[in-house]
Amino acid sequence: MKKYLGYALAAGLVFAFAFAAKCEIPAKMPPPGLPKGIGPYAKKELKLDPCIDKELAKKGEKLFEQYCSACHKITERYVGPPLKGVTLARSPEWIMNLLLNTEEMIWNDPIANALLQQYLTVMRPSPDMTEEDFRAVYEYLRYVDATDQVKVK
Amino acid sequence: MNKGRVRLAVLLALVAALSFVAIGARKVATKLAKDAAQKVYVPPGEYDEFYAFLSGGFNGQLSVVGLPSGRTLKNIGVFSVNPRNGYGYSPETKPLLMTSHGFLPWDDTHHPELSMTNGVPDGRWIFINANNTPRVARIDLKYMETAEIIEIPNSAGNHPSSFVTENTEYITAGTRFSVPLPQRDIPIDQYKGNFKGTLSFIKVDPDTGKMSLAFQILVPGFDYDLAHCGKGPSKDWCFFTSYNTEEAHTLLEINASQHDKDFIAAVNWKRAEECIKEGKYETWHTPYAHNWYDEKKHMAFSEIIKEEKVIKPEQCPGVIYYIPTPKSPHGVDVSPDGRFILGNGKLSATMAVHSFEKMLKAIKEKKFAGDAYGIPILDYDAVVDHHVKNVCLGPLHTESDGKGYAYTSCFISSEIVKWKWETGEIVDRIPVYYSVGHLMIPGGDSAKPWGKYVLALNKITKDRYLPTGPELNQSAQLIDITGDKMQLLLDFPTLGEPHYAQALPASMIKDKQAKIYNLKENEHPYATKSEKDVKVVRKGNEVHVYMTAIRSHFVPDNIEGVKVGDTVYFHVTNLEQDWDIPHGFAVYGADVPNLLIMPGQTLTLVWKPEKPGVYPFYCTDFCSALHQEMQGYVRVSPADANPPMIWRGGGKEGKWIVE
Repeated sequence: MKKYLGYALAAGLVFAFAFAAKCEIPAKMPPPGLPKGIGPYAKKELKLDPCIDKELAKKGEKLFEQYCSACHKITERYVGPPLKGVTLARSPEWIMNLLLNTEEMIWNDPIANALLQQYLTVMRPSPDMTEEDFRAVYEYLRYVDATDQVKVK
Repeated sequence: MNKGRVRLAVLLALVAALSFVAIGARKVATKLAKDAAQKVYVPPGEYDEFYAFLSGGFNGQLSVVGLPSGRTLKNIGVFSVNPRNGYGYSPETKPLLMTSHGFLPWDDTHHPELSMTNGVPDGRWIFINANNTPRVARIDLKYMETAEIIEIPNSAGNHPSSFVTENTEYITAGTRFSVPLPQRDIPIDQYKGNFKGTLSFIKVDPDTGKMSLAFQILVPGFDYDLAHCGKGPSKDWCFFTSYNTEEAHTLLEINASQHDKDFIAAVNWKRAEECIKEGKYETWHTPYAHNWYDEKKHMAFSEIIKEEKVIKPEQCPGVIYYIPTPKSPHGVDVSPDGRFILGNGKLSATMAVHSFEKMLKAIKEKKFAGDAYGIPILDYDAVVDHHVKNVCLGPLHTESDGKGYAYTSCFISSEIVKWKWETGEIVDRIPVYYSVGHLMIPGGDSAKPWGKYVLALNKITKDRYLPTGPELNQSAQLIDITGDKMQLLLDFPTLGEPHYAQALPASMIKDKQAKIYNLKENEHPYATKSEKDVKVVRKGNEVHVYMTAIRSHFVPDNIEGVKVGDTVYFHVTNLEQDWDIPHGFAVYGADVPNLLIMPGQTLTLVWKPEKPGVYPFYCTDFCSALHQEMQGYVRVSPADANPPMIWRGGGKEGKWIVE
């Protein structure tokens, strides 16, 4: 029995490596156990693929330029904080909650509220953005953190 | 007990009794005031029950007021420029105020009228007339901004306007001040027979609301004063009052008050349509302006039209009849069921209630009492149904509550009189302070009034509020009409002179209000939808700044390269997509007011700097904690200088594009 289990494990590892090898851009994952914030993702998990979805990141980059860039830059402070490193410092659930449930997050979540006190401007994601759009922007930020590149190439 | 003591005791008893009575009276008054206060109290955070739209009179705007609180919610610039948001100054809005006489920054608004479907306000648009230089405006009730203005040619003093037919097929317009038509240079004392009026009908596109002048009926040179259109059985007709059937041209106060009766002109617009179809009209060529705002392009456009269809009554028999009505009648009002037409005889204490059915019968049986310049005058006794006797002094206007009662405003005796439409029986009176003009019940001139309140729109204010020097605002008074006795609830001042007003339940339009302009749909040719698209372009002496605004910065916020002699166009796009986050924009020394740019909107400020120097610009509407920092500079160099053409902002620096 043990022997079979060993085989299976080995096969699994080989498979995982083969898959990882196919990963054009491996993602950098946030450490486990980060707070999730308040909102629709408070009690659920946002499963992250170990590979960056480049198409999605590309879509996210466009949306970022259109809807976010008037207030956020990647490497410098602007109206709001610079966003480089955010996907490593915060859980994906926290980021999605901030985007989908901004009003409650900035007043009641301790981290978001501390940022409001620091930057003194109320964050307002565009009402045109859908959950899918936000997920794309998140993928773009993941791309930035994985590659150190601001443009998706 | 001596006599003196008895007297003292009686006196004391009397004083005690009197003070008891006085305290009792005060208690009743307090109780009434408390009762009234509760009826108009809208707790913090809650909404009014009705949107009311009050004309701004000589201030040229339309005020949006909540009822029953009387709180002003907004003042909409219509025929007058509005410094609050740059309306009428920015190139985007200036075309709305174009006329055949060029750009006009002012007019006198009188009668707002909501668009109707089946005789009931439908919450799509509200129309309002300009009395001075004849025009009619359409205000969109989603954006609560002026969407369109059409000038009325061959007219003057557009007072019997802008009343709508049962399904908003047409809006009325007419000539209060008859003039030589077509206009020409003639001595004023040749008024009689040479001065004419027109009664105009503006067609409304049922889908877009777009207005076009359908036809004008050429009529004798009386003063056409007010109008209302029929509904139900009388839906194909509109009614216009007239005074000065004497055709006086000087001292009208006396000379136009000679006749015991003047006329209500009854116009059959269906018949007019037939005559137009049959080619029974003349084409005249008086130019007039037609202006409209393109919601997508964020810009108004203006065109001059040089053709109008004029119907002469003799070419189109059956289009118009005169109903004799005592005396210099002001308002003409139609009962909710469309059966009665009331002439509010300003100079007569008795009002005539005409029967529409009898009118048709008199026409059919040719019961005429003569004619005026070929227009048949109907026999008074054949048309009048009953009278409202001794109603008051100076009856001007009447609205309905939908429960069979009419409410008439009385200017001279300062009161509102409630009476029964069917019989003319007077059932109640209430004093108003002072000299009421129009009055308004929500939907009170429609087929289905919401008969909860009547709003008295008073001409004279005197001592009603803290005095403010010689000039006082006009005064409105809200009266509860749900009981047998009318009850005064509230006084509130108004901006300008609110001649007429309209109101509808807030629930009809509250949730349809636009909150932003969608940035994605912004097709303004100079829109800058993202900070990365910011640029400065020189085209000869024109400098176009493609600028963005968002909390709390402009891009660019440094501009160098402007020279004396240049015209600078700041095309500012507000990138916000959040409700109630407008940004303002003002430039030092500019000869125009600030812009107030709504989220997603693009507006332009035009500036011609005259002296070299460095001039600040800033956001005028407190937008965020860093609003004070929302500022910038533009450097102006002498005309013969050769400054670098650069801009900075958003952490970037750019070079101008020179075309």
